[in-house]
Amino acid sequence: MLSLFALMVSSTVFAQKGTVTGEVFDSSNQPVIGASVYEKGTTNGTATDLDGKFMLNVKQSATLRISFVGYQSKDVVVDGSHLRIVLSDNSELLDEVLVIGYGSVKRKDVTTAVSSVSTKDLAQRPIVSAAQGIEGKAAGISVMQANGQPGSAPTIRVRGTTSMNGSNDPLYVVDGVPMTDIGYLSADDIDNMQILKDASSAAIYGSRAANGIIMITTKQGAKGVSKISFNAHYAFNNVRDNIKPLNTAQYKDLQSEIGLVVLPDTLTDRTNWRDQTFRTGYVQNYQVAITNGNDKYNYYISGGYTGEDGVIKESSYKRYNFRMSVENQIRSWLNMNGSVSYSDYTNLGSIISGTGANRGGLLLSVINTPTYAPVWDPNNPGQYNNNFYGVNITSPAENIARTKDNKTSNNRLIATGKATITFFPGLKFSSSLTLDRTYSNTFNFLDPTATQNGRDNKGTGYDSRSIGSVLVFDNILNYTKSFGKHSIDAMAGSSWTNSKWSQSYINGSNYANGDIKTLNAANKISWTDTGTTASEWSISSYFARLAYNFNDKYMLTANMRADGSSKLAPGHRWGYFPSFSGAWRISSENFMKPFTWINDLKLRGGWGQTGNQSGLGDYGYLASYNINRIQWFGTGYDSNAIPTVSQSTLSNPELTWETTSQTDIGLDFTILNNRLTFYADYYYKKTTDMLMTATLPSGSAAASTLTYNGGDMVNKGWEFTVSSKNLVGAFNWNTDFNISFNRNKLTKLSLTQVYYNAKTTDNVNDYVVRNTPGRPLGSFFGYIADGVNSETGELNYRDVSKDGTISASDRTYIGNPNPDFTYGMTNTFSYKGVNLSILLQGSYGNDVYNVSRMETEGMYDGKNQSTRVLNRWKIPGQITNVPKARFDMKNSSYFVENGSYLRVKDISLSYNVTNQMLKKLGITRLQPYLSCSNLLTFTKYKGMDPEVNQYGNDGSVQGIDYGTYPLCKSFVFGVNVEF
Amino acid sequence: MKLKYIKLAVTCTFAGLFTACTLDYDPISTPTELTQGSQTDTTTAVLKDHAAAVSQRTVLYELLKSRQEHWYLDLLLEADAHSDNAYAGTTGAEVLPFENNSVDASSTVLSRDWDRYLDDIAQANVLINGLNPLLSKGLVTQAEYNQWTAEGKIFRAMVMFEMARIWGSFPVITSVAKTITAANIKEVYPTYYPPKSTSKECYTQIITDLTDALSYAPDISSTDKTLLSKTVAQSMLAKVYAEKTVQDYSKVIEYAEKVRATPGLQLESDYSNLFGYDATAKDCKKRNTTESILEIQYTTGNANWATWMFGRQLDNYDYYFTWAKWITPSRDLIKAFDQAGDTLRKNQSIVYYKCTWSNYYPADAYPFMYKLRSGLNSIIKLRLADIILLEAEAYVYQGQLSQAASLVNQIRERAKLPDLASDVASSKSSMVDAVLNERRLELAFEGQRWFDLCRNGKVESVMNAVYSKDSGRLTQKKTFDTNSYLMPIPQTALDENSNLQQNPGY
Repeated sequence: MLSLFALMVSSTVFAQKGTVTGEVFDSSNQPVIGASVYEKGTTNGTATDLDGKFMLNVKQSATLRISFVGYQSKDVVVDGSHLRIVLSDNSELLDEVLVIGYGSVKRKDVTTAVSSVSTKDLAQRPIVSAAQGIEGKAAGISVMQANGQPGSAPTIRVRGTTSMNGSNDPLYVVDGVPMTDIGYLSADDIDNMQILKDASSAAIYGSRAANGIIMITTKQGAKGVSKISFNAHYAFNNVRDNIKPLNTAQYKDLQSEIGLVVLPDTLTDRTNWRDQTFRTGYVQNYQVAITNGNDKYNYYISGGYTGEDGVIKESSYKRYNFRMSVENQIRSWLNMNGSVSYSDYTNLGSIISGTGANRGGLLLSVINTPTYAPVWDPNNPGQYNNNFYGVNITSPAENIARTKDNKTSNNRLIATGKATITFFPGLKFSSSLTLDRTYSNTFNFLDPTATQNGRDNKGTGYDSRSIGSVLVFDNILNYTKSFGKHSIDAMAGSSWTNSKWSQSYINGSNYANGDIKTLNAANKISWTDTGTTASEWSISSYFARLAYNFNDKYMLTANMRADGSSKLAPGHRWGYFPSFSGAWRISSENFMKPFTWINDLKLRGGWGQTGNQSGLGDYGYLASYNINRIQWFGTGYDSNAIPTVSQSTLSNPELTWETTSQTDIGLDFTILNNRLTFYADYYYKKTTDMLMTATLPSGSAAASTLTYNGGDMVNKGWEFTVSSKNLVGAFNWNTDFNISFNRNKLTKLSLTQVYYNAKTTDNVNDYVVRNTPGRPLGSFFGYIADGVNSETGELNYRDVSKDGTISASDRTYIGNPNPDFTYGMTNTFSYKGVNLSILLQGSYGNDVYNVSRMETEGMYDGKNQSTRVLNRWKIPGQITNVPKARFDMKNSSYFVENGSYLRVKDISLSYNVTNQMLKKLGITRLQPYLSCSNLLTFTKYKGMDPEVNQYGNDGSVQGIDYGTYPLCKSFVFGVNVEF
Repeated sequence: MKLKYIKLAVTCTFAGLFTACTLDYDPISTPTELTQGSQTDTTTAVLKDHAAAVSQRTVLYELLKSRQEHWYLDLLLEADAHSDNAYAGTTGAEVLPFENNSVDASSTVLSRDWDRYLDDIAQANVLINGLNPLLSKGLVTQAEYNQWTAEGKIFRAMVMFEMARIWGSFPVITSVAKTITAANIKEVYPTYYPPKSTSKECYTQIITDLTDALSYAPDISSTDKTLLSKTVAQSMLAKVYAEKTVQDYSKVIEYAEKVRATPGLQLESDYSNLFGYDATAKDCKKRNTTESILEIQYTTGNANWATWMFGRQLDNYDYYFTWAKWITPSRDLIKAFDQAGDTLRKNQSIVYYKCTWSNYYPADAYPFMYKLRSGLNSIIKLRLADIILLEAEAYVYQGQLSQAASLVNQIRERAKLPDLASDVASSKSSMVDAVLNERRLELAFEGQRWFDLCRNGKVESVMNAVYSKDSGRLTQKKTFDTNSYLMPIPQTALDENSNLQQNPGY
């Protein structure tokens, strides 16, 4: 073998040589700069210059391969003349390469439901996180920005919610490494993302695939591409402002009707609390990447900084990211790949939300704080004013001060080494080892004088540090073989994941002042809330895939995966997850020949099972006990006391995998010279043995919570995607549209049948979500309000139980937070380097329960209210839809709102500057852009934003607005430069 | 050559397959059944060894300390704000229904109380059931077994007594349910989802537990009144037999007499010793008073938190004194103190502060409940005055009015009040009212009043009248009737356990 190799090399040396010159253009006749030009079968190559020209010494009648990112590679035979080569855009969807988990496949050969978002989609608008790139772009995937806190991760659901208490987050697989959090990753480093939606595609990640998989491939160096790219953008953010508080006169008027607060006559408007809370936020993002490579090796190095100052004062986010990836073909049979990425990100000042202004809820206090009050206490310098004549609230200024020193910083290091051995063409073995280490530090401090809470506790401090290490070791053997019209692709492998995590935490109080914040300055260290903890888990997996393709006409794929998880009970740890899928490319059949306008017609179908065990405690199957410290100090107490233990959860010796079985039928249809593509999918997803934190009636055993495989849930729906090249040529217009219909239903619970969630305002103190079999998850539960009684001014609650009184038995289902459908549409226009992209996104038919309005329109105590209460009932006979002051408020349909919306999510305009001056400077790309996010929202929703959800990631509660950090309107200016 | 590669491939594949390591990890920082002993089909309670039994006994005593929300704060809501002694104090559905009589099954207060009382019973069951196997294995001595079982039973009876008074009945659970498995689910399901017992069954269980405990419970200690002593069992029996379901006045008198005969147990001569705070010593005025039968003590570094719900915390004067407090003394109660000329007990029960809110009274002189006034003060669960007045009540209903009057006068004497007028002392019906009124003034804000009214069948007559008498009281939502004597079973409990049934009227 080696001698053969030597022979090849020497024959190259002795061959006859000549010089070839040429130019490379794109389809719009612009020179392609930096394209790689190689003599096939050799290491001999070059790259095109600023005018797209190249010159190369080659042997006679050699074949040149010309390639460039974003274009289809082209082979040209040297015939002695000056070559003029036109590269065509690599925009044919059918040839798009999809990463499908331990392998990849061309779109046209896909047998399963996969959505894809590529660099081109991502580059069109300024985004800083991967999730933003998915939003509105792919059918079946809901991306909800549950709150606007800088740096907060959105909630992503693939085809609905599958688990009530287990995790519903998709699994992220970044360059083959599974992980649950990708906050470290800069969007600029992402090359493409694929979302594996159905069981048969996701099954290869069986154990962790029940909620779908988001496969992310990061940018890598490429052969012959030597490039420095720089992307910078700067954004201004503003909050939607649609709720106004009463002024002092109106407030006094209201309070005289409520009758709980006695106010002096001298009060006048003093403070606009909105101005004390909000500001123009900004985002800065700078990313640099350097890449180069040749036949043997390539590298990609990137680094960047993202800084965001939130629209709420004192809230901010910062991220520094660095990534390096090197690939080297050490031997013809050995490829080594190493990558390191490091990220340091910090959140400062997360606001208090999900609670009323009486407990520091910031957003609500903006409305609830009366406008007569000053910011600072006139009698006590350095203290926020808290004289509200007995109204139990704290002002926004004070609430911001309560959290302004709360900081969470994370350091994340991900290092991967991977070796791929090619034994002979078709047979490859790859082995990779990844370390994913996160260090996280949360530090909170509350000053002992400025705020009431601080004074009451004499200042508090909290410091928690945790370190987590996840090791992933994958070994995969891959074999591909074509013979005649048959081709097979076989894969087998194993994966082992181990996680170790430990934490230390200290609580302290009684600070002399706010000068020194670290806990050495706290006089009391809490004897109950200080300690260290640790835990560990492992997953071990084996998997295999066999794909068969006959003449690109019939395709079959079978997967099998076995997973063992340490989180499950011994004897029940292993789950087996098979899947099958097939496709029939009808368009390849002879009888379809006459239909030349059809480029591709394919019918897909699949069935498979996936498992879920995330969201479980690390030792969920064991009965666990709390350690309670016993007082050892003080007279009469045992100075040698030891802690007691008391049982906190019940044992489940049979705890096993939650299993989701999914059937998917799909159709791919491409017509009119690849200008119109249509994908349709129907799926039926049934989750059985659903992991639950079951609550049993108290009293029967020492504890009443049990981790149990105790329920079934069904999600079913349709998804449609249409991609159209409406106009091609000098003026280009593309439209991509997707729409998803999902129906969710909890079908069975085995032990306790009813679960309540989401207590609303303290004043009502009742749950608004009731989950029980036969209902969609997260259904709202309460009284039906039939308008305002014009005689009494009370809300008329409906006597559902017909027993003559309004009581707890009249509560019923009053809303459903699950949308009928969600949709997204992207239109892109380009003409002579000008690019305009418009992304519309929306949701239809979902209800939102607006707890915020209970606080701003409830009129139950001395809190200030919104101007909507100016229409309140005042005298008998008055017809209005706002009840009287101090009406009998309950969780009712009065606060359920239509959460449908259509949003202009993003408008981006960019211009590709091309002129000779730039070329002389060596600049190959200069693209300034302008963008605007969340510019317009069409909705009937009365709150600040219909998309928010206070319970963010919770599977069982959705669509609750409770003083949640709002999303904002954003104007972005940026530039992409490459040279 | 090809063979060599195939060999290598096979080796690598196997290397990959065998990378799988163990899936067995014992928890690092959480005690579990692996360290504490597991519960199987055959073992129904687990106390692994002597140390586990000691720990579980401590758990019960710690519960007495930590259960301040349902076993103290909520009890005041149910007994004082729900009666004529107090207003709810603040706004919101958590408290207002108790004041305006609109409590229904959605009450989150009742919901948490139901769950936590049952949780407490379960903890007692672990100790009581767990000690048996330890004794047979020789891991605890007979004396330890006897005493700890007795303490566990007193604890269980006290919790069940509160539940019986609030809801009438509940599922009587005295064992620990087995671990659920696929094989035994049908068999164990009813033990996790038990039906309500009858009221009679509930009280019978309480009496059995208390009677059992009489022999082996520790004697009362003059230096440690936190123990679940024999005297606690006797006092509880006196209280239990006064309740309608098992009413037996001779038993009330019998047990009250035993309590009164307990050496060292006597009324504190100074009423303020019971609830006082010593500002100089920065501590509660007196612990282990001669009058205490069971008290729960708190010290620096481990103070009670409940105080902040009622008013100023004297050991931390400004602590959260920014929002309206619970259990605001009613005008009707203040009037009752004033009419009796009872300044001593009034001043120990009610304090006036200037505050920033004016929900029920003007902000410059706003009354607060004063019987828990610092984080270091004790919660007095049982005291002699309660038992004396209960005995008086029993004598009245037995027609022995003079014995009753002499007991009431003991209490009045300590309160620096004259003896009952002879015309009062000579009439049974006026003595019923006199004892009731004496209990009201003596035991205000100690979680007694509502249950006194129930026991005496006075709920309708007293409570339906108070809304018009008391100008500060919220408008009455529902008329008190025979169904008002019991609280509704919380909807959350009914939904959780479909074998339960709602009380009538809700």
